[in-house]
Order: sequence, then structure tokens, then C-alpha cells
Amino acid sequence: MILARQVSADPRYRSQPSYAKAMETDRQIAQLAHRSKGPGYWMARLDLIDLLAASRSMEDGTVLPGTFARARRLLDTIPSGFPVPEIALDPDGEVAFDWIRSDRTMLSVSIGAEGNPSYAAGLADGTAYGFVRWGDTFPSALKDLLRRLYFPDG
Amino acid sequence: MAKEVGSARGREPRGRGELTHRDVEDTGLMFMRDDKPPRHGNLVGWPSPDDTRKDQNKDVAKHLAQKAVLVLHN
Repeated sequence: MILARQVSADPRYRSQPSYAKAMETDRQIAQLAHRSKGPGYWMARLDLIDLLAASRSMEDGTVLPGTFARARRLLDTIPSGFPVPEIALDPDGEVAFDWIRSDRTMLSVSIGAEGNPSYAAGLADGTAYGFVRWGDTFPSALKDLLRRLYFPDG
Repeated sequence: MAKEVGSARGREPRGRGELTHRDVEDTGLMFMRDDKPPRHGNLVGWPSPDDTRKDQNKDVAKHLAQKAVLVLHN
């Protein structure tokens, strides 16, 4: 698994001519249109863009445009009140969203170009894994897991 | 070994997660040493090798992540 910030720091991955313009445009849109969501969201959005650009030259896996679009849509719909996740690349090319707390409780969600997102959670009150149905809104099952992760006493 | 792997992938390793054999065995996986590069091995026995039940693989990976001790490289 590769963290977006790791690959984006490598200058070799910053010069992908076929995607550079599209990525820069999307980067500008992210900076301008979503600043209201806070710097955490903004950084996550940039991480996602960097991950797509970087994956084009890496052996670990290639993020398909469809995967990027779906990952971006899932990121856009994360309910307010929860932190933005760390974004990483799975070996199979799916994008992973990881919410990890200092006590090592966590929720990891992977999303690809098609199919339902898979998840695994290690929470204070137990573990869970499976697939979630996903339509236009953030899956209620994932929202419940995030609530259990960040508000275990609630 | 981390530097060798990182070098082959064109990146500097930032750190590593250390696990014991017991940690691995508790998840049902096995460590298969292949010495490519020297001292390297693979974790085998994943519940869904073809990833059709990726959620089960993620559950195992999550257990490993929770057990791993983070060692940051200088």
C-alpha cells in the first residue's frame, strides 16, 4: 500500500505529460471550490489527485479514471463531523480511505471502478467487515461505523 | 532490506511495521521465506487470494496493522 503523500513527494511522478493538464485543472478546482470544507478535505482531495497522477508510472497498480471518479465522489459525500481519511493505493488499483485513531481503532474502505466498496473496521466495541451498497449518498453503514469509531460512548 | 525494496521501486522507505511470527500466525497467515531479496518473505494463506472477498483480506490486514510496531527510518 502506498500513501499518496509518499509518491507525491517523489519528483519522478510529477511529470506525467498526458495527465498533467487535467490534474492541474482538477487541482485548481479543488482549491477554489472546496476550500469551504476545510483544509483537511482540501488536502485529501489533493492527495487523491496526486495518487492518480503518480499511479500512471508505478508498477504497484494503476488507478483507473472510473476509480478516481468514484473515490472523489465518496470523499465528497463524507458527512460533516468526521475527519477526512488518509488516502492510499491498494495493490489491486483500488483507492483506500483509512480512518485511524491513535488507539489503533480504525476503519478502512476500498473503492474501485465498479462494484460495492469493501471495508474492514476494528472498533472499541468489536470488529466488522463486508461490502456496502452505495448509491448517491454516503453509505449509512459506513456512517454508523464512523460514529462508532469516533464516538464510541455515544 | 527495506532500502533494497525501496530502491527497486524508486522510493526511499519512510519506516516499517514490525510483526512477530506469533502476530502473523494469530491471523491464520503463514510466513514463507523466499530470500528475494535476502531475508525477504511473503505472507501467504490469505482468505481470498483472488480478492473476490476483499473485505476478508482487509480484515486480516487490519489485524496486522493493529499489531505492528511502527519504526520510523531516519
